[in-house]
Parts: sequence; C-alpha cells; structure tokens
Amino acid sequence: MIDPLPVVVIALPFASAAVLALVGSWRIGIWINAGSATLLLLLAALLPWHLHAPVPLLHIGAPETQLVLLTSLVAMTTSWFSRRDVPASLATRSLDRRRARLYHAACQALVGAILLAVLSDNLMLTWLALAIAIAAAAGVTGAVRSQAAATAASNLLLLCGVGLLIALLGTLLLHVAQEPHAATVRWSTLQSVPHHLPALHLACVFLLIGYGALAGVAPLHGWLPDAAAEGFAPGSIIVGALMVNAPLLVLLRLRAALNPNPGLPAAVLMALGLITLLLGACCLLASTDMRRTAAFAGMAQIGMIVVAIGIGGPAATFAGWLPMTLLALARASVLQCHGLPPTQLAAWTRTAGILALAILPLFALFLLAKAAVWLLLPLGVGVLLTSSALLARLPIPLPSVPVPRGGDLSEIAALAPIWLQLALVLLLVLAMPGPVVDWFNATAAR
Amino acid sequence: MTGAAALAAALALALSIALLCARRIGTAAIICAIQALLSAAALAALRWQPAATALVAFALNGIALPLALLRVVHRPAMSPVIATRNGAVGFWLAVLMLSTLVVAAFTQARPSPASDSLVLGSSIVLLGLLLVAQRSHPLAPVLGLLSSQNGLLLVAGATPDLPLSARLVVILPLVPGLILANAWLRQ
Repeated sequence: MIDPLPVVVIALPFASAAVLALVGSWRIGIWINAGSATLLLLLAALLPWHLHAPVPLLHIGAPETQLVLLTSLVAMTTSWFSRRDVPASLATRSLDRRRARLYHAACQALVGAILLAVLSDNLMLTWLALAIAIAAAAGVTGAVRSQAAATAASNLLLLCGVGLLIALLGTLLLHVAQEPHAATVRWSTLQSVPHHLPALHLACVFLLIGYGALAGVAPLHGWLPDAAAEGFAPGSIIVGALMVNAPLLVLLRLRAALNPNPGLPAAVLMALGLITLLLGACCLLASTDMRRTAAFAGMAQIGMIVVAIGIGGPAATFAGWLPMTLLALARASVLQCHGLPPTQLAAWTRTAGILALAILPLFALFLLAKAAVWLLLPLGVGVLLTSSALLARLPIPLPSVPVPRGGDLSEIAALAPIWLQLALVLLLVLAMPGPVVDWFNATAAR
Repeated sequence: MTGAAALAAALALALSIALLCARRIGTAAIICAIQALLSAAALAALRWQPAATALVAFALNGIALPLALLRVVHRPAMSPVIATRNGAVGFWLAVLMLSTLVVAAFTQARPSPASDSLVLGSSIVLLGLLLVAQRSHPLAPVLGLLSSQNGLLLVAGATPDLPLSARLVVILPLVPGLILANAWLRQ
C-alpha cells in the first residue's frame, strides 16, 4: 500500500506552479502562492508520523523529513513576505505583471524541485530534480528587471550547470563502482551495497565537486553571493537559504556511504570546506551590502558544515547538521528584513537576525575535539573571522537616533514570520527539547 | 569494447582537442555536431538498448542544439570569433594535466569490458569543461557543455546495466539546452 502523503507534499508545489503560470492577475497569484505554501507546511508537519513509509522512488528518513519541514516553513514565511514585496516592486517598476507571474510560478516549482530532490531515493531522480531546481532558481533570480539580476541568473545557470554535469559523470561512475552491477543505485542502500573501492572514491570525488557547486562550495561558489544580492529579494531567500540544503544532504549521504574507508573523498570534502569557510570569511570582511553580507556569512557556514561532514562520525555530523538548520532560519530572517520600514522594532529584529548568524560559527567548537591537528588553525581562524566580521556589522539601533517607534498592526503582521524563525533558532540553541535532540541524533548516526 | 566503438570514441576525443583550437563559433558548432555523431556511432557499436536512443541522442546533440546555436550566432550583436581567456601555455598545460589525471585515476579504478570508452568519455567531459573555463565568448559555455554531454554519452555507453530512465536523462542535453535558452532570451 503506497502512502499518499509524501507524493502529495511533492506534487502540491508543482500543481501550484502550473496554476500560477496560467493565472494572469498578480493579486490572485500572491494569494495562491501564500495559500499553497501554508497548506504545504500543514501537510509537511504530518510527515514525521510517516517515517519510512513505503513509496516507490522515495525515501522518508529522519534527515529528509527535517529538510522538508525546514523548506516548507521558510517557503511559507517567504510567501507571506512576498505579499509585501511584490506590490512594492510593481510600484517601482522593477517587476511587471509578466515577471510577477514568472516569479510566483518559478518559486513554487523551485520548492517542489527541492522537496523532490530531498525525498528522492534514486540518484538519477535527485539529479533531475536539482536540474529543475536550477532552472527555476534562474527564473526566480532573474525575475526582477535589472542587468545585475540577469547576470546573476546567467552565472547561476552556468556554474550550477557545470556542477550538474560533473555530478552526472559521478553518478554514472557510481553505477560502474557497484559490485555486482545493480539496475538502479539507491541512496537508502548505498551504504550496504559492496563497491569496488577505488572506483567508488573516484565517483565520489566527482559527485562531491558537482553537488558542492550547487551547495555554494568553492571553487564553483560564485553564483551564490550574486544570486542572493542581485536577485528578487523573496526569491533570493528560497535560492540562498533553501536550495543549498538539498546538495548538502547529498554530501551527507555520500560521506555515510564511504564508511569505514573514507580515503580521498573525505579529504577533498574537508579541503573544499576549509577553502569555502576562509573565502567566505575574507569576503565578509570586505562586504558592505546587507544581502551580500548574509550571503558570505552563509557561504562561510556552508564551508564549516562541509568540514563537519568530511570529518564524519555522529558528533561531527551533529555539529554540522544543526547549524545547517539554524543557518536557513537565520539567513531567511535577515533577508526578510530587507525593505522593512525603518522603525525601531524592525531595526531590533534585523539586529537579532544578524546576532543569530554571528553565533552560528561557534558550533565549530564542537568540531575542534574531533578534528585533526592540521584542521584546528584554519578552522579557528575562519570561525573567528566570520563571527567578528558579523558582530562588527551589527546594526544596534541607538536611542539617540530618531526613528519612529512603529508597532502598528500591519508592521507586527510583517514581522511575525521573522520572529517565528528567530524564536525557533533561540529554542534550538538554548533549550532544545528532548525529542528534537533524539531526532538530530538519529540523523547524525547515519 | 568493439573496434568500431573504440575508433569512434577516439575520434570524438580528437575532436575535443580540435574544439579547443577552433577560432570561429560556427566551426566549433560543426565540430560539436560531428562529435555527437561519433558518440552516437560508438553507442550503436556498443549495442546500447534500445538502439533508437543513440539516434535520439544524435538528433538532439548533433542536429537540434548546434542548429539553434548557429541561429543565435547569426544575430548581429554576436561576435563570430571566440577569444581565449588565458594564455596559450597555461591552457595547454591544463589540457596535459587533465589528460594525465584522467588516465591515472582510471587505471586505479575498476576495469570493465568497456573501460576504454569510460576513459575516453571522461576525458571529453573534462576537456569540454576546460573550454567553458578558458573561452570568453558568451556562447562558449554552450559549446563546452555540449561537448561534455557527448562525453557523458560515451561514459553511459560504457556503464553496464544502466536503467532506461538513466539513459533518457543522459541523452537529453538538459544543461547545454538551458544555457542556450538563457543566451537566446537575454539577447
């Protein structure tokens, strides 16, 4: 008996995208987008009770379910945020009716493709889902009418396209590495199937570099800051904060498949992670624009997460997986503050968001106990640079600066989704409930 | 691997080198089309099933995309000459390094009945990506990725028991098609 819930969760955004592509009115489009995202979150909230449900081509494990919940939550808050941003962009003529329709349809298609990539058990299906996600992400990024946004969308297509082709080569090589050759390669059985080790390592190196590009890992990271800073603001939240998580899950699955002989691919992961962390931290020091700052902070964090995955083992994976969740929530919160009216309430919310981003690198302290000696210095330098650069950019709203007090109902309604995300960050950092700890442990034990 | 498949794959690799030397975008598109024909011929010689997939791969990679590329090239704003981004010495050193890496890596990897095709295909993929990095023309990425797609066809041909769904994914030039569509729309 097939469980219909996971299929509905994946199909709903695609169906909404099809409807949104046909609906001409941007006002109706806004409500369909927000309604669909809210329904998706409600359905995704039921998924933890359907773990390991039998669905062909899909695998509903603990990390997959967690990413589905995270994606649907941020997609929901972003869709409500775009209720304010789309009319504002239409008023300033940076969007027109056709581009608003493109944005809404591409946004839902992107969410659907991310969910399909996360829940897919088949390597080829994951690849195909990420290819759809890249195409939709280019549509979301380039929706706004500006040369910089069009260039950012082209960069995204090019660099992620190169990554996709490298990942496809790695996927084919993974078929060759299986002993005996199997008809399909599944994520759920990748660990248990015997492999020819040198061939597996070669395939994994290609897969890590290819999917790493889609996660914003150096050297093919250049698309991420541009897409986050130049694209349409609500779209850049989905692209920058959510799309990178699906390839990170792929890296986690591959690292698990390499046990107990991680060899060269684990070293490649740690090296790429360190380069990304240090590069992100250095760029952060020179950054002045808030959206670009959030993107570079995210890049540095992704580097730290990749190092954690490369180190392997339950403790290091826990120290990488938890910040990944927190990063998506904190980065979405900072980016959703973009374009808010300059009131004290909004300024404090923005400050809280950046503070949340600044404390995340401290999770690397958990890695230091497990890391090799040669990793300690670059890891420590990267973490210190990232945290200090973010703290230096902390916009503290001083009482001497005359800003309106704010606090009217419409402003509170606009800020409520951001507060929800920041409250979740606070809860997970300071007082993580027991069942959530068990949940993260189950993910880390893979 | 049959002699005919090995010959077609080796010629396709030689065309990758020729592609790196091509100065005009029209010439490069024709080289890509011939390379797609050779890759499809290698697949047919490797007895890829169903045989029609080799034909579809050639129709898409060898006819449809190069023709679309030529249509974009003929627009007035597009320069017909491909400029090199870095110096020639660094470029050929990179080619040499890539070839050495591929041979060294695959001699370590698992020997299979069609491992020649695997090595040749992977070399074509990497040389195609090198073209993307080395050339500054707006359509150079399409050419490089199209050449890489031809290499992937050879790798897929050498992969035993590849399911039909995976074969369909490999024969569709999804990534070069997306980049070309983007270049078309931006113009």
